[in-house]
Amino acid sequence: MEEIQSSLPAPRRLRMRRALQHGGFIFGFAILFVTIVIAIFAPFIAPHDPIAQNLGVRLLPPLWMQGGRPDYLLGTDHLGRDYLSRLIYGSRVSLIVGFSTMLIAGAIGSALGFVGGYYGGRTDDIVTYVINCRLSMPGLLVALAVISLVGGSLATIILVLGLLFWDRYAVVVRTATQQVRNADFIAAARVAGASAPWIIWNEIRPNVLHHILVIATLEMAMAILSEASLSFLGLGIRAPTPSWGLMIAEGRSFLFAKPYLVWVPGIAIFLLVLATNLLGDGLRDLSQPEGRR
Amino acid sequence: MSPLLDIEGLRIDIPGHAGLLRAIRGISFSIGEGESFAIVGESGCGKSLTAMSVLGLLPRSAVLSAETMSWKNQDMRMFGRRQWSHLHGLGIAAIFQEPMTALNPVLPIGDQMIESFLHHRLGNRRAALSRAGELLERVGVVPVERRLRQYPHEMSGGLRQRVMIAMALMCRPNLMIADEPTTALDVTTQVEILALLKELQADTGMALMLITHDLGVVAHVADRMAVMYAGEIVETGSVASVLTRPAHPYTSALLSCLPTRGQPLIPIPGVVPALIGELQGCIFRNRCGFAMPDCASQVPEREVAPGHAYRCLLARDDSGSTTDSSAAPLEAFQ
Repeated sequence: MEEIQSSLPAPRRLRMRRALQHGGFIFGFAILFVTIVIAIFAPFIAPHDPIAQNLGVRLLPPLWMQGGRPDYLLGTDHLGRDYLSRLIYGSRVSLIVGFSTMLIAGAIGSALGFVGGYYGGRTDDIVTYVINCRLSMPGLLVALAVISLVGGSLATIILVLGLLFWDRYAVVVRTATQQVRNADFIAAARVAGASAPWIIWNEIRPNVLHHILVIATLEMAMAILSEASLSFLGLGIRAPTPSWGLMIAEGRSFLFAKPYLVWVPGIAIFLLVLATNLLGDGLRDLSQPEGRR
Repeated sequence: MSPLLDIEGLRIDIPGHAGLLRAIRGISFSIGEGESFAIVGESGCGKSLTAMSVLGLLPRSAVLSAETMSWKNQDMRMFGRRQWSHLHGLGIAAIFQEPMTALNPVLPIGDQMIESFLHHRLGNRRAALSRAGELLERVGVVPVERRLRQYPHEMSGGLRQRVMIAMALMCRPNLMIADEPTTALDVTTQVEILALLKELQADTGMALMLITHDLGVVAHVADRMAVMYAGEIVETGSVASVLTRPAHPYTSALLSCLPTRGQPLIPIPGVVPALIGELQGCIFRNRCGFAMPDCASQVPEREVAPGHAYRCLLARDDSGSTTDSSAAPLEAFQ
């Protein structure tokens, strides 16, 4: 006779098991992980210098097409630079912009949300007003205007995007904080003598963290896409630094003769953004109780 | 001996759309070292608000005034942030009605228990954990090692309330305020928790301020009690005296509301009046069986016995009350 199981496995194990059954989460996590590894070890992986020009091998097609060469797997661009190497180094820009923007925007938005949601009253009115001001601005348009004034560089892009796209963090964190702050355990912490910042950090933050994580991944995808758009418009990363958006822009004039110059970096952007979004969706599903998908 | 907590003439007003809500109107009580004091009353009579004012947790819109409000002879109204923080945890601890929401759902209970201990710098993490372990053992949440790592959702309501009590004891408070500590628990668990509270009080010598609507709980745990009605204390005295010789008609009526086998329940007619605007005379007169015209103008404070006072026009001689039927031996509640 089989014995009746008396206890469930530990919550951590259960969570792992659920994560491994979630296809989107696995896919997103895998792609993002591989991209991060590639970005970190770019100098060791890339077969060529990404900005070295070699006009003798201009516009080579990828290996599997007619005229492709094994030492240039994805061909070369109009200046004879190895396309694979540029793609590999380009992932660095995308990831740096994605993560840095996420951190800056996340810090600003969460701080506003915590303060507004916890203190309420007049403080909350001010926070809500600031959020509404931000929401009434078309984000990418403002980013375009500011960057065309200041000039594009990696730092300006990160700063501008980070200082602009914190609205979702603020809205969600504020609401989530409001839901938690009236719980008895907050009163208990106050009665135990804890200060407001301490309560926000130690009692409320762990309760809100899963919301922040979900938004962070979605916003990261948004930031990656924004950088690509800005670079494509010539307002972002400056040549010759490889950026996927810039690669599409440079390949655009050869769209009909050499379409791979556009679709290769295009697919890269698509995959990375899709992966981050799927990861976000996966985190959202996994942070909810079982059966409430 | 000077009392631990001394409150005189406490008033709490809450401004609202309909006018100023006079939620608490001049109540006085004091709690001595090691004493256990109960405040009873129906929902909305202001008993929780009284507890909140002592804890400094009143909503911001509430306006508090008092003739005296002192903790160990220090004026609490003059307390700054640091003194409140010191009083909280070290002086006064609290346990709440709903053990389901009184613990942070995303932190293991061990981490939650040691927070205030570490916050008040009573020792390092190891000392905090060993104290938490001792207390859990004391309140019967075992095996300690495993429990410390568990999350609140892995425990039953009774266990969580035990954890709450252990948590409140972490910093050795002088006074524990228990706001309806057993209301959310089932009856057998209630008895266990009350017995535990009583034992711990005897062990540690702390004072207890018990907020409840359950006269059985009062009889079980408290030394002295106050009966609140619509923001006023209508009768106060030792538990034995108040429950066996109730002097105020409201107290008598409350006691008649307790079920006795074979007898029909006697409800109190009418509803609690709105506490808005100027209020004069006895607040209970619209529901009182003994009301007379003078009740609208004056409410004298009378004494039945030393320490047993009530606010009513009707005089009671010591030999018996006008509502004899409600007088019951104290054991009846236990």
